[in-house]
Amino acid sequence: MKRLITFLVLAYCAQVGAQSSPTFAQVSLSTDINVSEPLPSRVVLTAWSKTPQKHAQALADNTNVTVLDRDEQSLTVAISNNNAYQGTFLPAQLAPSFVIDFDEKATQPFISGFTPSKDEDIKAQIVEYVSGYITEPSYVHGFNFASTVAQQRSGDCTEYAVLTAALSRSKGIPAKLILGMVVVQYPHGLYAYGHAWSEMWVEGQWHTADAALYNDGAIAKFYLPSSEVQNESLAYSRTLMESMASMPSKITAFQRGDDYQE
Amino acid sequence: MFSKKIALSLLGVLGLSANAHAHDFIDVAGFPGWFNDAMKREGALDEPSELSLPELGIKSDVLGELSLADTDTGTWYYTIDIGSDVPMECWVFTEYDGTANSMHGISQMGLESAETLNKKALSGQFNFALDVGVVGTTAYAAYDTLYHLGEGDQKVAGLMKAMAAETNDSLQVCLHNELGYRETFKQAFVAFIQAFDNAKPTNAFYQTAYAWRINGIPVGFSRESYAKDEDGDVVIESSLSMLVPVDANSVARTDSFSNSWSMPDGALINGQQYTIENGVMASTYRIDYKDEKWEVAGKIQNKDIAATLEHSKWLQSEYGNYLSIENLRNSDATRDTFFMWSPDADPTSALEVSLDKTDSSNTFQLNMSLFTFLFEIDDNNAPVSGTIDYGVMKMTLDQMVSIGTPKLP
Repeated sequence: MKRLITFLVLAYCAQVGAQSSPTFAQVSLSTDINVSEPLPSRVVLTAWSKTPQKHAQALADNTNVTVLDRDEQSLTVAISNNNAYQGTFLPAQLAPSFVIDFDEKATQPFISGFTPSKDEDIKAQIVEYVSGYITEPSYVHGFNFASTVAQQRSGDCTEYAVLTAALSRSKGIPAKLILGMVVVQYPHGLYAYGHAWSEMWVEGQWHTADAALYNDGAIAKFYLPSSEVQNESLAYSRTLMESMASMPSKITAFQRGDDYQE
Repeated sequence: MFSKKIALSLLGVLGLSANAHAHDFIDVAGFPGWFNDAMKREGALDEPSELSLPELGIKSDVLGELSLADTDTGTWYYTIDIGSDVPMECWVFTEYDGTANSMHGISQMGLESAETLNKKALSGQFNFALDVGVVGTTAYAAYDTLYHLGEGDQKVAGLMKAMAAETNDSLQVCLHNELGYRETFKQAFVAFIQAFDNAKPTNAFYQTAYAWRINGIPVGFSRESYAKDEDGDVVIESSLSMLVPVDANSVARTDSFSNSWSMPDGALINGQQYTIENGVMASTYRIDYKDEKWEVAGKIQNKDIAATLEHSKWLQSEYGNYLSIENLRNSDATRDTFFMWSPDADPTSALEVSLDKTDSSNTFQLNMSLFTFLFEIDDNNAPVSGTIDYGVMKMTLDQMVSIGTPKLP
């Protein structure tokens, strides 16, 4: 029965790098609105999970997401596509870790290859560089460290996020890993996926930095974090499993948030 | 008299009927008529032939006309005529990565051969089917790939069927690269594996294997074997092989193996584990009890690790879990709590686990903070089926075979 622990951090990712849709990452989404029309900057939805209270706590500091209602099985939230919120950072979010190992020798060619322009947005440049650095998008990986991703140049959303955080920290920009769900509107439809991304702290704000979905042709994206990967030590796997266990299993009552007032 | 031919046919039928059907990812109903006609073809496995492999103690009849086509140190390559245009191919390896990784590797090699033979580049490949099952006490996995070679008017389609099993210290992988012949291939594979399963020596007092499914899709199997060593302790061998269809085109491959020793009372003595993911050694771990501390050493993604667990007392072995179930079942207690070492979750600390009785006498719940495993047990106190709800994924485990009793004789 110990083998039960060998669980899957696999394929809990939105479509990356023009790959085909991941088999197990898609979350069912039901809505009455016309999804062919452009969505407003804010939407409202109900996310069903086993731990809505824990989920609500994880959202406490994120002003992009407002908890409107909660019961024992679900959480109703308003999500803005602003993708930035006020906050502070911890020293650990600047430092190398077992997972975000930008200090490893194997990570250096990746880091030294990044030569940003001072005149342009550093966040956007990091995301673009990581997006281009991973030349073989693939869902077959579980959860690879930055040094492994830097060598293999392959991965899905977790690998993109890890590499983004590593490069960010190496440049003195605080960064963290986030697990959650993303609702994406494409010209062909509206989808919800389990997802991982990073957040960068720039000029007093945490900004969503998602290299996996860079230039993916989406019309709109709404990020609903479930948890931050706070343990980047050898126990990271346990943290990931705990986080993923509380991910939403379905989205209902998805609606436009035009009328929502903060 | 019960002829050998009938016995082998029955063996194939029984082997098939004992298992769930493959999960097909692609509905071919909308495909052209010629394709569907080709997919309906089956061969006739009328005559058995002998498989003799003295190095592994194998001498048995198999289905189809078998020929040893090539051999090298620790590797044997056979072709088996199963009544199709292209023969079935089988490899036997004594050194290998594991059922999932090796089968995928051979299947990909088969696709490369198809490119060479047809002088056309691979232009697409799709997961066609996955399956898991058991032959005797041997678990197997199957992975079929629908592929395209060439482009435009020159495009051709093929079906690469692959099946693999590990018996004792060897791995058998079979391929068949032709549309149709699915049941024929499976029957011939089952007979081939049966030859190895029959010769498999064991001193285990308990063996079991489980089929793993995610949202109903068979993604792999786990195996456990328990034997008594010369000191009276329990030697535990367990493994997990998984092929997870992560998208329409690919599968993530994992093979994990562990050996551990347990005291007769269920206390872990020591253990080691290694995992191969997608053809790469992903991790190796070892745990030993030294100077009244649990010491862990190993490597993960090429990084050396060493740690001392904060928890220095009893760690429960996999064998101990069966004893916990038995104790709970035969007492008024409703809960047992203990610590386990699970390096996949966290190699540096012990994981607290609780086992609860439910209202039903044969249903239990294992709680691991990470998730809850609800399962039913058989008369031997072994889980026969269980479920984990994990976000959008529902994982189920179903016992495919159970030989003996999970209790020291």
